[in-house]
Amino acid sequence: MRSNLHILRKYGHILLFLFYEMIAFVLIVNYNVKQKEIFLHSSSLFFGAVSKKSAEVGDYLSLRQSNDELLRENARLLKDLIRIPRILQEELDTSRYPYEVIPARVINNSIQTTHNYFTIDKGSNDRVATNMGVITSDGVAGIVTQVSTHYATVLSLLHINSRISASIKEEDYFGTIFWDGKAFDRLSLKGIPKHIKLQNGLIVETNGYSTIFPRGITIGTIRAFNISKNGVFYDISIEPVTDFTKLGHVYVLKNNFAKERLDIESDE
Amino acid sequence: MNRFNVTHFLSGIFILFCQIFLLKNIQVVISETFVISVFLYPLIIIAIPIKTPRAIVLTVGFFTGLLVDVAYDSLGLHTAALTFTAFARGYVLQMVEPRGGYNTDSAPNFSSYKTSWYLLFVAIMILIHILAYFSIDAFAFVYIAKILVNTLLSFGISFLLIILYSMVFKY
Repeated sequence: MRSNLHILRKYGHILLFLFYEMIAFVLIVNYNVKQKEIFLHSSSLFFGAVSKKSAEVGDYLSLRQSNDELLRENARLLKDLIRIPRILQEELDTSRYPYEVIPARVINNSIQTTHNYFTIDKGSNDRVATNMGVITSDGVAGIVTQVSTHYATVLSLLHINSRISASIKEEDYFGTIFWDGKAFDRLSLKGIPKHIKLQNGLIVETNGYSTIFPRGITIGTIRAFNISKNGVFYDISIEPVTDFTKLGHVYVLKNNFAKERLDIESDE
Repeated sequence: MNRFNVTHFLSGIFILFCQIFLLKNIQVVISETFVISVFLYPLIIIAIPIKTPRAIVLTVGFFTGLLVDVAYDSLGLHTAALTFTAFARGYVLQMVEPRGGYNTDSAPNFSSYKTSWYLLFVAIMILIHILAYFSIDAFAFVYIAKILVNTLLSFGISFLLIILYSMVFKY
């Protein structure tokens, strides 16, 4: 206690000085036009700089997550790479595999409405065209609907008009994926006949019945199912693997044989 | 001792009157950026008895500055400057302490101390005050040239006036 008093006696005048100066400063800034302007200007400069720095720090902190994602994707690609020569030997040679991949970044995204689109930073200059499939490293994201020279808009899976042909993994029966516009973490799959045995957790993937997605790209996992009212098909509820709330890097799938296939299909 | 304080109080009031009613009117505006102002009121802080507690010096500085500000319609400027000068006073006194120390009951003036000491002390104090005032007035150190020029211009005349005042009133 005595030492506290001693400190106060020794340094109290500094506190008093700061206190008086603080009052004076508040008075200056409030009652003098010129100083007020300078103060407001420099504080906006200061806080502008601070918020910019904090955004930079935020970017830096999310590097770890981005890194993890890239690592996972690397691992997956490496696995595919190892598998590919075997697949090629067994099934197809390179010239027959129709899809090529165009990487892109999502620069705008919406999940709020029932008609959701997102925008990517690749357009016709990068050979992106309408009706190309868009996937993330996790799975299906959407279909390109409009293309300008540098940008393209993509109809998200979370659009009530989106329709994607899908199958349950390791089964050939197919149905259609669509979105009912309610929750952004639930899709519906209809058209799977009821005699198949289902269980929660089964993976639903594309089946290659269109020129948009090749066979075997994950869409989601089954979370609930029941027999529909007409009693022939299942109503299946699916959780999409793609997290539409944070789309970052995506890949546009360009099918080089699309025209040929569409031509012959429309001739029928 | 009590009479001593009363004298100081009345002198302070008189100095304030001089500042507010006389010197306020002889502000010389040279150009848009350069102004000569005459500062007499720092003498109130300069002439406070040596051993006055620092808190009291600060408080006197604060309220004197506030009164000047009310008169000059520049709320806060003189307050901040004179509070700073009052704060610096203790350190300046330490810095220029004459051999043998200070006489406890004395106040800085011509009769109590050597002329050279008093001139030096007054010069340092006024310089600090005017520099502080113009810095706070500019409110940004990008105007450093303007601050320095204005300080020097006002310093000369203020110094002369304060010395003159001290000699005339034996204060």
